[in-house]
Amino acid sequence: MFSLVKSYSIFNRNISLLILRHTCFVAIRPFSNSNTFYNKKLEEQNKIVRKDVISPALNAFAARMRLNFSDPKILLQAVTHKSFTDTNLPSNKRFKELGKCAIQLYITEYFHIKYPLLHTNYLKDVVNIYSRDGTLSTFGHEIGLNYVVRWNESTDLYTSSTATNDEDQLGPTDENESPVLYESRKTTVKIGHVVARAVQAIVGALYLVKGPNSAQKFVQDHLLSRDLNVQQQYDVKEPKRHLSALMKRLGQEPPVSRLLYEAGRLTKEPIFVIGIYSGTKKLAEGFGSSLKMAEFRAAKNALLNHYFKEIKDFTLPSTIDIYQKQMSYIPTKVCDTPATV
Amino acid sequence: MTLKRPLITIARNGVGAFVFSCRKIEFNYCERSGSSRGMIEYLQNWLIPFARKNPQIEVVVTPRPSKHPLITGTYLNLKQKQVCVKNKNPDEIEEIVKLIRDNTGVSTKKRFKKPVISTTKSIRGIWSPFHTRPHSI
Repeated sequence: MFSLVKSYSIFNRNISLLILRHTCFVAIRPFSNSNTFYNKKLEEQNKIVRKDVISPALNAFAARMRLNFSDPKILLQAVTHKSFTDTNLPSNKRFKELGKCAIQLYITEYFHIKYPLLHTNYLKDVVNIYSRDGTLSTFGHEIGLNYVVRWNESTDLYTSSTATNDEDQLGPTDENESPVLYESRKTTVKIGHVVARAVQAIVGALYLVKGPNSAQKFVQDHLLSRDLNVQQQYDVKEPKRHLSALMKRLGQEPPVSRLLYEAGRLTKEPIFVIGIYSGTKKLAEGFGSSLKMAEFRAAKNALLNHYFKEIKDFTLPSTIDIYQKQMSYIPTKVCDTPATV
Repeated sequence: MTLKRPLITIARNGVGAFVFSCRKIEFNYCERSGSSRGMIEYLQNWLIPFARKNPQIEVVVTPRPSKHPLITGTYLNLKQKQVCVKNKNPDEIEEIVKLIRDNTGVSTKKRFKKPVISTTKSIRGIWSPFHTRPHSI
């Protein structure tokens, strides 16, 4: 949308009038290069105080993210932080609460079905990475939300959501009673939290106004499309032991490691490639500069191949339209829990 | 033992939804100067249809007296691209505006050593000396 700057020049080319006539919404920003008394007086006379007006930046943002709300005030409310008092609209607190839960749901559901055999701790970690304040604030900055949020920097205390989702929440947490309050002098940190809340609020507003499917699509398109190497997290101290337990649990033959290839055994830099077999089936390979190292890596790869198995084609339960009778929901197989050592 | 780096997600614009990169285009012109003549004609006749077609871009028009006309594009990676359009015709200006709109903020001077960036390194797998010559007796 447009933002017109008023000119006080003598030679009026009628640009301002033309643009005013054509556009449905114009924000007038006074241009004050000179400090004359005349100009200042004009400014004061022409200063239009409008509350709760959608700025051109917000309009552009809505078009960029393809959010077309029927009532424009909803979007305005969703980006209004509670610290912003110069408004008649309520803050985005309620939207944010709903959006936070919606984001958590859609992300958890996605990874739950995508990695059916994953250990719960890793699942929780992955979900946390995608839905925590840091990621949401980064995402918000990348889409230009930090130029659009309405907030006030002067308040010193900002509640942080460092109270992680893993920790038990003691009863209903009110923001005033939360034990985690911190002061931050850096604007970048403060606006990070504001932006994260705005993202959650937008998802919440979408959920309420346009329906859960719309919110799910937003989360999937923007948040779940982000890339994360899930396998990097896997940390196991005794992979051979875990693999033995896993084979026992699955009722398959116990794992045996066999040397497949080697080079430079007596040199400074040997390479060994060891494969781990269960019967005649090769589970995984691993390379290393010593036999033990290669065996370790092979066992770890075997565990990764099993627990981090990805399912490619699946339908999420939240995307099922209840009224679509033709579409029959095919649930994915409920899988086993990890083998304990 | 390598230190564990905190894991972060990396955005992949276009994989899920495409977020348009040009956030704001600012037009500066001078009311009196001759170099702004084409720019003024562009603003009067061509700008509004352009802004209508591109609602995702915030368009700002600012007079800048006694200076050459200037078009500044601001992008989502916080970079800016400025083009001086002094003594240009409106159709030339339109092409420049399209160029700015279709750009990202990435610097043009940077050489692309890797034209394709992907998370999947290769489809057929990476070459290894141990898997190329199968042993035969």
